Amino acid sequence: MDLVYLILQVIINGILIGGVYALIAVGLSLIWGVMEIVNFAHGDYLMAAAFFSFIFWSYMGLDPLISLPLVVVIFLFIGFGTQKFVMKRLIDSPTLITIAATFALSLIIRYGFFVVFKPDYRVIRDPLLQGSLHISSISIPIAKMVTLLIAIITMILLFSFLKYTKKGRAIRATAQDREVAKSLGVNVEQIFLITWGLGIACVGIAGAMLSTFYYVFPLMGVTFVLIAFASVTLGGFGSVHGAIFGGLAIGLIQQFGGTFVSPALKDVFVFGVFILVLIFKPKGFFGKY
Amino acid sequence: MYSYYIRGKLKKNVIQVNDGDVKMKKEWKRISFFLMTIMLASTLSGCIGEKEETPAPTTPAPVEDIKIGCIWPLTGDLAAYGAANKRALELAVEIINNKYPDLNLPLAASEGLPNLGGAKIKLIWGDSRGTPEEGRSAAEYLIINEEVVALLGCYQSAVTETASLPAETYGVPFLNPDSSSPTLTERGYKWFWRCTPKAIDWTRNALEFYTDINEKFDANLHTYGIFNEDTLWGVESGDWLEYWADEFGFEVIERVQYPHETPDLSAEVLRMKQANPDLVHIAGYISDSILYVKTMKENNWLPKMVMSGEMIQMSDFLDALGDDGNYFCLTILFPQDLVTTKALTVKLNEMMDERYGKTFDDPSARAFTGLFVLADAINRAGSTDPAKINAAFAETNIPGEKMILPWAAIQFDEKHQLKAGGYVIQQIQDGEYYTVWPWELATRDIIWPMPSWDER
Repeated sequence: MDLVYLILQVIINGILIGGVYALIAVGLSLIWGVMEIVNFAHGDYLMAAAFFSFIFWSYMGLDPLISLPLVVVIFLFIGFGTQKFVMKRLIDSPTLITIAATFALSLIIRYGFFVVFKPDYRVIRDPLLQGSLHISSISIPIAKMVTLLIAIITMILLFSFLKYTKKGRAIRATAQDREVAKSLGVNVEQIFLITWGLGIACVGIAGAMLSTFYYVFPLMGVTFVLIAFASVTLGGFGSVHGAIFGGLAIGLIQQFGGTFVSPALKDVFVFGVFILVLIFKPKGFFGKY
Repeated sequence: MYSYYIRGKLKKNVIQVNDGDVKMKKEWKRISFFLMTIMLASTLSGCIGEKEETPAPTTPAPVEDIKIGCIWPLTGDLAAYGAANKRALELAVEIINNKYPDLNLPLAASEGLPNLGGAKIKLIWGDSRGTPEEGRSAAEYLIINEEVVALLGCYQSAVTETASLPAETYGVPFLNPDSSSPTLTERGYKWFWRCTPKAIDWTRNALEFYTDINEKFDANLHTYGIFNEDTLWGVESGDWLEYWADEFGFEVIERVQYPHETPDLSAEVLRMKQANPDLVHIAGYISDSILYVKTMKENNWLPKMVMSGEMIQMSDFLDALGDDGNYFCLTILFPQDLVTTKALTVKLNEMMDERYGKTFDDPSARAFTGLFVLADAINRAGSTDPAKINAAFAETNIPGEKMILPWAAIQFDEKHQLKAGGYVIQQIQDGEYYTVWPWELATRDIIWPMPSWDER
């Protein structure tokens, strides 16, 4: 493969996996931005969504692409439920309490699936999205390409919602200053509910799409959520734009570092950049604070 | 330590709030977020410990039970191995503790350990969670709190390395049935024994196989690529593959060392595709192997042959990949197609299937064998005195017909390493595993080279 094609392939690989990271990170950033809650269970919601897709495929023969709307709706309500039954009572609690709560949720979800589904690796076989597009010597995996497209559509919809709808503006107002938003008549509790719903629905989309090209396993969320946290840090806390930027940047750093230097060091590059951002741009690239 | 840190952070947060400095509060929150992200890797890697005991025998034990500490990854991303080994060991305990005169296994004909007044074996489980730190903690817990007579485990070489340290310190015999890092028996430990071959053996067998392929097919294979994960086992396996490749006249043109548990292997496969060697070896665990196959398919690339280890014999591999798993080769100690000609193995497979709906695979067969080797040593020692058990290990001589594995015998050398035990090469054809090398043991001819993705 010529160097030009190789670089193009690396960029494509970086953007494709970066899109997945971005989609996972968006939900995390949204919840943090509005409520200042670090959702330690984020990766486990991702895993649960992949399992839901697997279950729909396994028991009902529904391809993950077909069952995607169902998974999104289910996870929207799971997000509502998380806020209503768990986080609502903790919203004004110290950070430690919310961390402990999401950590507990993480363990309950992870080991709940672990017990029910056993530590077996599962893959959705013969999905609608399979194979690759081959252009010259460049390969573009169709499942990852469609995942990126869906991630882009999701982000456009999310931006539009946040920017142009009344509820979206209320979410942004709450993120800026909860007390002022409340004094202006914003129903903050409802905003929290919507934010959890949207955040978990986003990670639900990521999990469902991930199941088309990744194995489904009770601990699969752990590896991805670490990257999602780094993405949020790079992009800036509370910034949805930032999370997308961070996800894509990490995807590209991993691919360039892994391909041209050493795969053993690809995460070293990611967390090296992470440290540099901490030092020189502590707010991240699009952070509020 | 973690909780102390959080508590300290919270206090600082409160102080800042009391001072009315909201900006500083945000700053602390941001810093805590950064640090939490960094700590996430260690804190989320598995958080449920398991200290489960096997069910007590239905009849009262005539003497005190013999407690054996078992350390395997019961949670974490390698929990599938731990689960398989747990099933196998539970069956082994049942056979040792009860009478199974029709099974030609050590101690099967008697109830318990006859030289210790029929004492029963009792397993105490420790969860390594797949990490060396947890493995060591589990070993310490089992030795100090549970006062186990001996330890058994731990599959991953890196975990076995650390878990055997407290055993050496406290003078407790440690038997390893399933880690292949050569370093483990080169440390000169007094209490550490290993009843499985080393990476030196299977890596040499792989290169001998390719030398034979060159002769048989005039294949002109020369270039070699290695994927190895970055823990002790992967790194040493990669080193030995390089060593033997050089010895047998092959050239390693690409060696890709990658982080274990990485979510994406595109860069790794792209590097290998760029180098385009004739042969590729994957020294990685099952999740990596599944991901490599999928990523190679995405890139529409395959060398003339890809080989992996016994991990792809686990049912998860073909369950996950289906037909895409065909034509891959593996080095293996427990070739199902050969060992099922042995009546003992057939019977044990039936018993496993009846109880758990699964049969033996390579790791579980090795763990199963390990418990019989350990129980045999304790019984011959006639005591739970560690020195006597250690002395009994040195005299171990279990003949091939008395074990599930297809070896001539189990004996230890002066370094406490299994003396003999050979690998065969299998190839997956039509969703089944067939022995293809050594040629004289082959149950099917090898399909050479492996068909490209387009030809399938």
